[in-house]
Amino acid sequence: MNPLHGRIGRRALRDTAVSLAALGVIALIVAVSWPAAAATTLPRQDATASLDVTVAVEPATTSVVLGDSLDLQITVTNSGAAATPPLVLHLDILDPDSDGSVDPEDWTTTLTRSIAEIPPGGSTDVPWTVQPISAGTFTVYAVVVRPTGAGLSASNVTEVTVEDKRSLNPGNILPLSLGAPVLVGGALAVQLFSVRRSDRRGRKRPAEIPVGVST
Amino acid sequence: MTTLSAGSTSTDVAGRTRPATRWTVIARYELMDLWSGGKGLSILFGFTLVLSILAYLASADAGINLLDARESVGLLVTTSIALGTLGAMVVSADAISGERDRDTLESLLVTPVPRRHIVVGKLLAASSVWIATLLVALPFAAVMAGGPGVMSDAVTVLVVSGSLSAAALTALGLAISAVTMSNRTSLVVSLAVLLALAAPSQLPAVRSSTTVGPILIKLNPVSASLRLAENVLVRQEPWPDQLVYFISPALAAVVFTVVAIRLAGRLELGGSR
Repeated sequence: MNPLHGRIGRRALRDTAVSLAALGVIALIVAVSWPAAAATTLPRQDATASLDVTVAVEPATTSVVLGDSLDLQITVTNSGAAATPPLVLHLDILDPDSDGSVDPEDWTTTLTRSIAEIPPGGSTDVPWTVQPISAGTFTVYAVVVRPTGAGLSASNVTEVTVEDKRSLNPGNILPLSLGAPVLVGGALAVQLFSVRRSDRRGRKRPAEIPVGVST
Repeated sequence: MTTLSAGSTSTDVAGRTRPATRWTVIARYELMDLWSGGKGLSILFGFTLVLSILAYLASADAGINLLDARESVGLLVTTSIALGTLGAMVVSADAISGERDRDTLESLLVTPVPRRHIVVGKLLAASSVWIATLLVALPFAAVMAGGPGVMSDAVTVLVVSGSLSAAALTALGLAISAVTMSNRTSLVVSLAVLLALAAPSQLPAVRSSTTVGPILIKLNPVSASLRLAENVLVRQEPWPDQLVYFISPALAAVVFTVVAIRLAGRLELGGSR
């Protein structure tokens, strides 16, 4: 047996093994980066006994252009006879016209804020800035809950109308986004056309040469 | 495919051949083959198309304040580095194993050109893919930056960091192409290496780690370049703190180029068929 053949065979085998190892690396990376389905445990549903606080979100109705921020004012008032314990204020957003859910974290980076004790008759104002990420009509409300134990109080709902704002030429990028592929694609098309044409000419040439003429 | 004629060697005024410049002949032929054969423009067209769509979508998001200019330029720069180095690596991974598959390596090896000159010429030609993608990416960065500060940061990251990464991976692709017997193996291994190098900067476990993660990212030339772009363009961290991210791409460029040239001496015929 020709030793060169044996060496080439061994190298081909080695190449196959290396290819398989490379595919294994790809599979491993995909497996590691695949988002694992997180096991979630639903919280126990406590009784939703009301707190002696009232929560108000203002303005009650507002509109904003997509891309602009919206300032909400949430007022938590202690209507009871005793001071409240420290409370947790939570903001939520939903789209009443759609079965799909709205992710409030897209609108604001903080969904929950702590509120210190409020004396009887006192109130706390919490400014909250949100930025809608899509157009439509949304319902925004807030709830106050005790950190431990039962107790919940919900606010009025605020209707937020988000007007769409779309530009065909955002940031003046359109001419470049259209022009660059057209330019490169055009150059490629011209090149491929000329290559094919020269290939056809090359194939025709032998027949065009008169018999008996030396080349 | 490179086909050289005897007239390809250059001569000085005394009529002596100058082997030191033969790599320029190889590079010239490879460049002609790459850019007049349609391969280079095909890669560039795919890159331009992806970049155009990405730039438009990022600008639309920036237009409604979902992204600021720095974030959209950061996205553009990291994508350009990743795709540009991928294009250059694919071309270099085809450089020698492709000749072997097409049965043209023998005719190349019998030409009066030292093997390391063949490798250097092919390396330069493959690097032209990165230069072309860079030339496409720069106008996009200029339009999206919206100011000289972001623009200069983006250009510096693309030109310096991106070019170092591209040089490293182009040389690595060529080294892999020199030692593998088939083009298929060379391309698969090169892509797996690129993916393995790019993955650490994207994995949440590595990104959130405060001990091993930063070291892994700094050691890896690809993830170092991507992290540098993110730090400078998105997080606006000062340049002096980012110089450490140039070390591994620069070292990798030198080491892989030397390895590729050294492996050129071991070039031999034979194929998988």
